Amino acid sequence: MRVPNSMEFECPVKIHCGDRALNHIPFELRAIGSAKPLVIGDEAATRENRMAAVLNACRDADMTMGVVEDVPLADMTDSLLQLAAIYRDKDCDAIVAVGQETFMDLAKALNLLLSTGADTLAPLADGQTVPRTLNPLAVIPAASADGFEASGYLHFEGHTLRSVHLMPQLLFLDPRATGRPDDEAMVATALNALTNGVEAYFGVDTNPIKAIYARPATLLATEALCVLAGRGTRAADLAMTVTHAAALGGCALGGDRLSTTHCLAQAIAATGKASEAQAKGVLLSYVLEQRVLEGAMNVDVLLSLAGGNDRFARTPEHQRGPAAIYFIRSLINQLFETSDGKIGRTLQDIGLTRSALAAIAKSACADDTHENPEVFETILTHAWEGRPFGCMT
Amino acid sequence: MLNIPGYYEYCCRVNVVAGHDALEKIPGILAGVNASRPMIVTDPGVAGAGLIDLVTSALGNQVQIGGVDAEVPPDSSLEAVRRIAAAYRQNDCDALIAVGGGSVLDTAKGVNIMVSEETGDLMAFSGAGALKHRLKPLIAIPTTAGTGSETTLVAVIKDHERHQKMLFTSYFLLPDAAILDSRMTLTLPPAITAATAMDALTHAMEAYTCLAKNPLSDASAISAIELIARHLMPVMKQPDDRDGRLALALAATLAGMAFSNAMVGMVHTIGHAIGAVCGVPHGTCMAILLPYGLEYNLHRNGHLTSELLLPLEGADVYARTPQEKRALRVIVRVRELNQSLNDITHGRHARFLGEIIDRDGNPAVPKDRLPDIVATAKNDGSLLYNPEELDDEDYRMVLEHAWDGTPLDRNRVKKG
Repeated sequence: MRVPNSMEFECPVKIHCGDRALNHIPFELRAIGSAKPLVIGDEAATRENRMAAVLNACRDADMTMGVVEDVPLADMTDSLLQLAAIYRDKDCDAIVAVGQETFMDLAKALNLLLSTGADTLAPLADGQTVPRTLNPLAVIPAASADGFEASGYLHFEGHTLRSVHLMPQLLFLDPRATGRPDDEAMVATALNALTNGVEAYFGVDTNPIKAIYARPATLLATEALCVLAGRGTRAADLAMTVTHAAALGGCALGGDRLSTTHCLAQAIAATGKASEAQAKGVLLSYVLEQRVLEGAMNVDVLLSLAGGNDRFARTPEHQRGPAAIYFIRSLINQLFETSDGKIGRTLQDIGLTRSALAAIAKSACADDTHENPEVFETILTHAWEGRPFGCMT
Repeated sequence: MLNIPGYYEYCCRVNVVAGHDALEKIPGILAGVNASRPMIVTDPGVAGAGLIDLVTSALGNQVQIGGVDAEVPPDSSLEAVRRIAAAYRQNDCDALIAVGGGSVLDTAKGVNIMVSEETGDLMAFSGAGALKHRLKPLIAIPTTAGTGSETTLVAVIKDHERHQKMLFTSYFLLPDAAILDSRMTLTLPPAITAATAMDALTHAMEAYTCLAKNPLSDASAISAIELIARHLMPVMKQPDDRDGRLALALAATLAGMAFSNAMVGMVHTIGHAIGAVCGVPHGTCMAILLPYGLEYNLHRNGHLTSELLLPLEGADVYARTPQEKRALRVIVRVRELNQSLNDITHGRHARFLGEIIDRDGNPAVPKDRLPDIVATAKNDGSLLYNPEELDDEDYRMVLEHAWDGTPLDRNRVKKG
């Protein structure tokens, strides 16, 4: 791993992972000064008994708490203000959030609002700095999470904030809290995790501390995708594996700028033709290949993460990068088969038209990147056609 | 394939800022935590080496230094904590900058408890979890690349009057930021560079091969090993190699993150005891004992030790070495590294216990002290995470080999 001449990395998240992890919630909250958390969950958390597992863990430790279940997400601002009123009314001092994706954004927004004492998030959405000392936030994500719950990103009502200080202080990954995801949901979670892990490990902003999170995120996501593609024996805890991968991928992302695959996938998802995860599955290998060819990235070590140390070591050095990219691409091709085509091999497979690519490239560049739309369009074109750039030859 | 334990925890909330000009980032970091008048805490050795001048120069006129205490003793003491806390209050400081090794950082953590909790009774906050609130901002600037203490949530303060050691454990004790700047280790003498790097290598290898490992401590350990393997000897040959110095500093921090989340094993158990009985520097003990710890545990964790060959020697050696010989090759390589360090320091880096000499040129670990070392080691908690148990006879056997510098007789290792 290369050591940059200048780097900075911070991950304020304490991770609790494995059997009975939820039982540690009361102790950990008390250790950071919380005596009365507000436990909130979305509708799926109640339906899948994830909320009950969290509440029981707190009750067993005689923890006093406020509880709001089935938080509606139709009107986020209304839910935010109602939860803030309950938190203040019950004199709570921390938030425990059980849910995924949009709901986790709501939990982060709530924490930001309460920690700053503001009435609305407007000043922060206008670009003010996120304060360093927010109130304690604990998150318990499910297996259909996208990893952003552990990251420093907050998407709320059309605004995006990013800061390491928005990351939760506590993260609990417990088999009782993963829910009951189907294979399609687990593939999506694993593809999100793989993208976060790979782009954090091999991107231009990488550093050895970030790699602590990116490396296992990539390993776990690859392991899960191989199983979901029918390459390995299915273990009982596959849902836990993808949840774990997604959370670590989110930690690796932190509050950093989104990378190429992410930006392109978000732009594709915005067209409504495919999900972000589907787009990432197609795009990742093409982005890596383009970056390797332009000399901006070296993905040799990806072969050891995806294919194992022995395969990496016995492959001649100049073949490692191409072999790693081929590994990812062939995995996606296999998922196309096992998912009955729901996971596309090309952008054409996921329903994009060629004429839409230029607009997608432009839109992706507009979102917080310094990229060239022409380069993005070239990547999209190769991914649409399913035509490698040629680093494989 | 990852080794996922049934349950694990991982936490390192320290903001790691590294670079050739990392010191210049301190004013921004202080501003980010609303601090503007830090107290600098260090020891006479660090101050004498001119390192505080580097720090104050980097702070420039952006930060008003509230005070400098350069009298921290080699073992952090309650007296020093009280003195510095009084100066902190008197000078109206609002943050701490600890420049030095473990003792300086422990002292600064103790001061931070006193000034943040506005207490004169440090003892009231000893033990685990007694702190319930964030403390004042603390910035750690390590001046050796070894201990990794900038990543730990523990502080040990000695009360010399009562002959007691007070232990404090809390996530609130973690520094807000660790500043790794190549300039801070550029003039580190060769023998100390060698010993501290081997200390870091031991943290990483024990964290990876002992019982409390997890995927994140593994990733920290692997990166640390790779960086030490690649940069230690080049730095020994060319001490002003700035990139190499920075890589070793980062490796020590990574190794600190690994062991503070996965604990260590018998190398530390025996090393602590040798340090306590004979006063031998910690890094020296670690360098000598590391191959013995790996060798002793081989039947338990050889598969894990073998995985370390890739970061230690690279892909070609890994591929050429048959799987069943990789762990042994790791042990041989660590011994080769000790030999190379011994050669390049003209014998100052000891290869075995019998070779260590004190300042007067006498053996620092007389063979007749081995029973005392065994007796002390038995009470060290770090053995809890070692893959294999050791009784008196096992300790003696390992110590005798480490004293002579001969590889273990694996037939004498009791299994289970």
